[in-house]
Amino acid sequence: MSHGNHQQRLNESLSALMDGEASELEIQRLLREADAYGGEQGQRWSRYQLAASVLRGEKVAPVNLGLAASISAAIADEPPLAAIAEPQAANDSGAAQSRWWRPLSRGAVAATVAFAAVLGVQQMQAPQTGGELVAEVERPAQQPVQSVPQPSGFLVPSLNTRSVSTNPQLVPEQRVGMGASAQMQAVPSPELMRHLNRVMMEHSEQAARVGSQGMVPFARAAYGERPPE
Amino acid sequence: MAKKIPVTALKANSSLLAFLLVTGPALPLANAQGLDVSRAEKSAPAASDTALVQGAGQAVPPEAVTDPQAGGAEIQALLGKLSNAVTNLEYRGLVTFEHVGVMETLEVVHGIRNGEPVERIRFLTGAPREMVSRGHDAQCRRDGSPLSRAGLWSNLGLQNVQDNYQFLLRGEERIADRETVVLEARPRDMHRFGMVVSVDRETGLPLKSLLVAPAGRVLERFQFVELELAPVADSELQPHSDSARERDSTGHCGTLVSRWQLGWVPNGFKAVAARELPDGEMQVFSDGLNAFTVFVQQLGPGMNYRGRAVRGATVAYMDHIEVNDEHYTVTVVGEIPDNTAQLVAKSVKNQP
Repeated sequence: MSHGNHQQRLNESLSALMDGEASELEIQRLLREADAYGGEQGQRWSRYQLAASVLRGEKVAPVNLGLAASISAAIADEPPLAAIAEPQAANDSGAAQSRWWRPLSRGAVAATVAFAAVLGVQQMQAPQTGGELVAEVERPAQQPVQSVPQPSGFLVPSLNTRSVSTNPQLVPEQRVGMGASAQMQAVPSPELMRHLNRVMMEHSEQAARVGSQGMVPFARAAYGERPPE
Repeated sequence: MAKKIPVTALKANSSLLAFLLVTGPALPLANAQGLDVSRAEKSAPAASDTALVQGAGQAVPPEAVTDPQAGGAEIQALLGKLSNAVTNLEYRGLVTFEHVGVMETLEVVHGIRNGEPVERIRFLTGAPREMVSRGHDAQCRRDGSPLSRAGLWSNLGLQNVQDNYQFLLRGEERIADRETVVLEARPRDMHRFGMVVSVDRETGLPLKSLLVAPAGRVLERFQFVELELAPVADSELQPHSDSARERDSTGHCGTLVSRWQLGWVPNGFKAVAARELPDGEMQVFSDGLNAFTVFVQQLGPGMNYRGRAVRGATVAYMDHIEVNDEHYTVTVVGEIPDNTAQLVAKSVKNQP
């Protein structure tokens, strides 16, 4: 089996996966290859996804595949905090303070850049919600919960028990004619988060009064509540 | 920087098209183009393959109700029992509450004081959160709203609910060591979510409830692990932590005549309460099972976010309008589909 043949078969498997028609065997093969060679298949996959997005008429942000790698590299290059802080803190407290903060702020900047980039891309890929009533299937943050056993016919992906923020997750509406930079500025302000938390709580409490869901709305109302600070 | 992006995007676009033409059959064009037209149908074939259908809005499977008359009577009786239990029973229990793939456990206590329900709910996981709510039903009942908790399952309320949902018996299951009957409320249109409630056979108390999106996706589950049916002592209705929030909202059910009007609400949703806020007003709509609330507030021009925020099964769609040079923030919050929330928000207008 020549390398060229092998490569072609992998590409076909990748196409099949893209169309949702890959067999178990093909998926296994792709995963194995991804482990072995990494980059090339991954980039091809990204290109396929991008191509499908373009054909669907979605707005597409140019994806810099090297971004994640360069951010990890930047973070890996940082000396550990303790290594710098300890010897300095002993004698020179003023200098120690500035040394302390330098790597921290650099790391924070890297994290911010990564966050902004991810946010931007996600917004770009958000489905356009015209007036059409089709998008429940694509509701991003409402992941189904696990529940076994079920009455037949309910879809129940796996449960994640790690704790997450109780803040609402934002999905801004895509605005036609706006550049990517404008989209990226939509980082939620504390004021906005407070407002959303408040209206969700008020709604749940009122809903408890008029609905018939027993105590469920109370659970919702109390869910996102924060202890007074 | 900003100017660069469209150019690169364009470049990517054309080179990708070329790439596609080369690969040809590997990625059928027709297939990819079809995605745009039938986004709703996209998931349908996969669903039918795995026999995960019977989601919301689908035709009733014939085996679900063999004898519509007998089934109907049983469902009516069950609904009546449920309404009675929710309003009049005293109980305490431990509950799991799941959404967004996260599970929390909580303690619930439900008592009756002076004929009004008093509820205490406390999260046992995550950040300490506790809430005590008392006396919230009186005003609504006096208003005679058919959708108030007590009136909901009256004949009138029941009729409204059955116009919007189809009720099906889905068998039996054991929850918190008790026998329950599984009742499904399947929405008749796309503007509301379905529910599956496991009703305690003996008392009618809902011991498990699921909120179900189309295609049978479960968005939220509230389920008893342990239930104790016994009179509740006063001390159990007192806050157990410093962070507890007490909510005494007698008389809040709403007599306010709103200055805002909705150009459109989904079928069957009726205004059931309206209330003034320090910075605006809120109006609650319910179809008997699900509810959404419309907030119109003057929060200043800084709050000009347009889009949705999601937490668990609850969506908030935010928009803003200008009326007489005044800036108003519109927020529609509820356990309803995203698009429904958006449509409602877009339809808010000033009462002429």
